[in-house]
Amino acid sequence: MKISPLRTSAFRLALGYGVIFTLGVSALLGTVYLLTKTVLANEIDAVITAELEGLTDEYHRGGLAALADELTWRSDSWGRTGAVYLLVDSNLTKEGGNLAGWPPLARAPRDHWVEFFLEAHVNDELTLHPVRASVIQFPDGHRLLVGIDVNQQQRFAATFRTATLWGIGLTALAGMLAGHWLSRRLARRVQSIAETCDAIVGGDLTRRLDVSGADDEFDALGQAVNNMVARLAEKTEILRATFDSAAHDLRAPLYRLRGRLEEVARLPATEGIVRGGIESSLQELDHVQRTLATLLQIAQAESGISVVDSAPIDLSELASDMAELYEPAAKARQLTLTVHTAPHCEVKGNRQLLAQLVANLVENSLKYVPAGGRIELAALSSGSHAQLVVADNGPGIPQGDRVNALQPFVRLPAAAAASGTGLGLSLVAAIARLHHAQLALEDNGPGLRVVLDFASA
Amino acid sequence: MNTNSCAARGASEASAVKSAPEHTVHLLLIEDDQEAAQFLLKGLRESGYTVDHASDGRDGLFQATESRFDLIITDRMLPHMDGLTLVKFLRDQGVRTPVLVLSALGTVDDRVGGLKAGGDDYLTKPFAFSELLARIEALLRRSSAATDNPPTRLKVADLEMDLLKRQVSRGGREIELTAREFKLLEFLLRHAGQVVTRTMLLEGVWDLQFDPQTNLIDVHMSRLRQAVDKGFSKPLIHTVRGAGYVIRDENQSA
Repeated sequence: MKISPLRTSAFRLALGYGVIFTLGVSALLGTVYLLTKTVLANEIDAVITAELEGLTDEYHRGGLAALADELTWRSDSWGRTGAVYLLVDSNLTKEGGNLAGWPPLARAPRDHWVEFFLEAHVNDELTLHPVRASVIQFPDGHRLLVGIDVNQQQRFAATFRTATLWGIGLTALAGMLAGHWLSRRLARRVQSIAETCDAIVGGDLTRRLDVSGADDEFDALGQAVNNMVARLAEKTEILRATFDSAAHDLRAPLYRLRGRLEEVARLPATEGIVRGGIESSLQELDHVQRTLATLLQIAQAESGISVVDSAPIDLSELASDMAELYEPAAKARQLTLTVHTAPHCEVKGNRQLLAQLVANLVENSLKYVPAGGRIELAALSSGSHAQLVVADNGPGIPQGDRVNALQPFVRLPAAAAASGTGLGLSLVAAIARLHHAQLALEDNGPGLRVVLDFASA
Repeated sequence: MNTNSCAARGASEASAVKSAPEHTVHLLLIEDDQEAAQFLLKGLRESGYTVDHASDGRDGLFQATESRFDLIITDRMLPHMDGLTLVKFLRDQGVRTPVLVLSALGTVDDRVGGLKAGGDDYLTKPFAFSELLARIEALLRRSSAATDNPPTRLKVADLEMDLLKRQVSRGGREIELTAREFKLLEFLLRHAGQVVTRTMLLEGVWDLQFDPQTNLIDVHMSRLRQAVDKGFSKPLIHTVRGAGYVIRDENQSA
């Protein structure tokens, strides 16, 4: 599966952030622009208003003549401050100031703010200058116009506006580029994960995800997936080995069964032959049946679903019950079966499965410990741990074979002569795993000591 | 009804494994495997039962609700409706007929699931026919005894068990038993006249559901026999070859 960078969640995320960020920057810069513009405009208006008030005072003090003088005196202001003045009579005829005549756009306004363009020669070039002005009318019909060239301010505002738009545009562009880069990078890593997983699903359980060592979230994911695959590989291997050996172990009794039945069919049907054939066939069937049942139980335990009907189990009680159950059988084989119990040996588990576990261990001991030997069942408790121990003083299992002994169908060389399905200890191991108990095969000097260590309930 | 004589009366009625019950016991077998069904039908009819057969879950449910049966034996995996759903359905409709579930699934979990669904007993395929017969008898007995008051005394011939005082005596002489031997004998007496299999004993007396590889039960039974039958002219505990054990008074059943 090819992952398109544009369809990744990282790209969508980057796009989303880009849009939000761009909107934020727009709002910020737009506000600054508007505020600046307002401040500038207010400042111009304040200057004009002050000028106008000053001139009005002049008029009130000295009349029209004084005002005209003042205006003449200030007539060169255009070049210095960009200020314009115009005094007209009621017919709009110029009586003073530095404007040639009443501006065309502001036709006869009364107390009013006006804006118009003024043609001005600057360095022999005719340019239009925007002017903002205010007009007042005196009681005698004369009007006075005071204005300022706002060319500078408007140019500043325009530059500001352009800069703002560029800023917003660049922010958006940078966001998109970063998003694209990020998503391509993520897509590449996810792509490699997906490819590896596909290969694993395809059956190659040896493949592992790359772990870069950066200790980032991808490494965490890779590590988790790798652990999962490793566990799967381990389980698959156990299952494969189990079923390989199961096929072998089921074939043997089936083969014998078939032989016996064919023999019965071939020989003359006397009562003795038929009955003997049937009885030995039933025995072989029992063997097949037991192997199958144990396999099923292992498969279920290995599948790792939590135990149904999990309940608090007192290991001491379980050990006593099992000892009581097996004591006569042990005695019949001239073995001593003893039990040691301790208080507070409660664990959470399934009584049937744990009983099966103990039974398998005890039956192993019954099988391998020579007459006169002893078997010990014990429940121990230490701190937050409870232990279940089955020990004997039989031949034991050599150190090197102990791991193997837990594998399905492994019958150690020394045990080859004994009967059994070869599944006993692997079922013990499976039940222990299901109960999250540590299983250890130890040397009992001499003999075997199997210890199950549970975290107490 | 006199509760004291309950067990003894039962013992005299059921004389052997394959004894024909005095009134016809009507069973329903729901099994889709035709060959296995024929074999079971034949065996059950030879044992004196009247058996109807349904070969899928829907038909089975229909028959089970239409007529009155003493016991229903159903396979777990059936076409149209599986055995457990069928049992749940019956229980929801208030049908209390005992149900024995047969299944090829034999793990602890499967068994628990089967009993939780409302089944009364669970038997894993393949099973010995004698095991099936013994369980059918036990279920039939249980459902007929369930309506009476629980007995306080159990009795077969001159062997008497006082459940309140936890005492056992034979011919007036007290017999010392361990707690487990007492439970074992109690189980036999409650099923007096019926064959109980080794797995039934392991289940009923020890509450264990696995299949031990050693002859555990036989060793325990021989101990019990030592205590109960030794020194008496007439043994009460009998081994039934290929099936299990039965406690009965030979004289009365003959």
